[in-house]
Amino acid sequence: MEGDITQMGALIGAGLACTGMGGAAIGVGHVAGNYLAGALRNPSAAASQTAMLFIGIAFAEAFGIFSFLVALLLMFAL
Amino acid sequence: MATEAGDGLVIRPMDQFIVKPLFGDGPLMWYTPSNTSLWMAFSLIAVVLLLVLGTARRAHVPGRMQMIAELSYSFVFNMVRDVAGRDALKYFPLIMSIFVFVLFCNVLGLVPMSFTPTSHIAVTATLALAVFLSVTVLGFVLHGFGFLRLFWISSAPLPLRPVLAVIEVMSYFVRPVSHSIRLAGNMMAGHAMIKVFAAFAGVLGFGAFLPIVTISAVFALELLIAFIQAYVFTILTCVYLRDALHPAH
Amino acid sequence: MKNTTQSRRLSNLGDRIKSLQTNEQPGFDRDHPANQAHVAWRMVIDLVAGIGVGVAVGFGLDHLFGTLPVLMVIFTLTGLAAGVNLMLRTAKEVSSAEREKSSESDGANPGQSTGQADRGTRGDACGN
Repeated sequence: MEGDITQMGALIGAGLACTGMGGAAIGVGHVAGNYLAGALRNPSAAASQTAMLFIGIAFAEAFGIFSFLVALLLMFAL
Repeated sequence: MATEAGDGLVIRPMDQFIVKPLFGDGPLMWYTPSNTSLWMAFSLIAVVLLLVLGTARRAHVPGRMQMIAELSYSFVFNMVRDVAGRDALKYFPLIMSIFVFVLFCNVLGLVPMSFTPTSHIAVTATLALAVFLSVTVLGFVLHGFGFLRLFWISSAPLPLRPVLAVIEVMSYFVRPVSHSIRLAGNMMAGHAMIKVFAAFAGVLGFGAFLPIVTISAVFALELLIAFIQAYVFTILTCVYLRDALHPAH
Repeated sequence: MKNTTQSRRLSNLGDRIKSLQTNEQPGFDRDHPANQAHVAWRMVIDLVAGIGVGVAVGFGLDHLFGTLPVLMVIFTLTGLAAGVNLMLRTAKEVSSAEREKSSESDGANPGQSTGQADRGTRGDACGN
């Protein structure tokens, strides 16, 4: 066992930051599921709303990637 | 490459991306022949084999190689025409070279024990920077300072325009970054994933058929991604070229 | 007499060339829903790269001028705005392509503008 307490804190923080990716997963599932529910109710309007679907997915996923970047920074840049 | 050490599971998925010199262990300079340059040379040779030797016979009824070469040619040709417009066809050779180079780097990287040059940000950033610089220079040469109209949105209300101009300039500089990160990230993530599953197969013994089935599926997905990422890289090049040719919104 | 049949054949030829050109698009079907996933991924990376570039530029300028938090905050927000801008532009491209396609299929077979018919023609295009 080597390393100091700062490194331990950084690694624990990196692990905690990774929970944010779970939040992104929930968000993407919510967006896609609601899109599918709406598309099954009104299939003729579904094709015009794919752009909105992509925007929703992108926003949800981007914040997951931010938490991943924070984890990487804590692990390697500190 | 995953190695099974004495003390259980050791996964080293990123070891496949290490750049090594081909001969000896000397220092790695820019002129050292390394595995990156070797596989880039392989992809160049494959491109020449397909596009030059494949079409050398110029048969009226094309064989397989000539068929593939003509298909890829017309695929890129239609893409440039549809996305960037007819007056962008002058720059078709640049876009075709980018497409076939990226495509062959991606696909040859899927050969076992090989190396993927496009999984390195250094390689993709060079490509993206070449596109960025040539498109910017082209815009200034064609339009002079009128190229700056790209950043000045005349449809917005006047007090808002300077703010939007700052955001547009920022977007313009973000584009090469995302252009390069997208390709490198996709390539790296897929290969690392395959290596992680391979490490699982290494320690499971008779249960190894599960990871092997997964690897086969992931490999098929990777083949699709290798093609789609080359396509996306090229189509974004076309989009940037269109912005340079027609800067006014 | 011969002239009219010839001109009819000529116009038929034009139609046939057009249909062949639209049907024999080489490569993969870029409008297939499974192949549109890269659009979402493109938006994600644009957003993240926007903020990344903003932070990097702000931090560099702060380092240069010695005003640490100020410029970094400003440029991070600008980077976020730039990412959203790029994302909305991509979304506009997608929706305009969608509209073009639906208007095209309206012209080809009038009265069948539902998403179902659209999906069917796309499935056919995927086959070749």
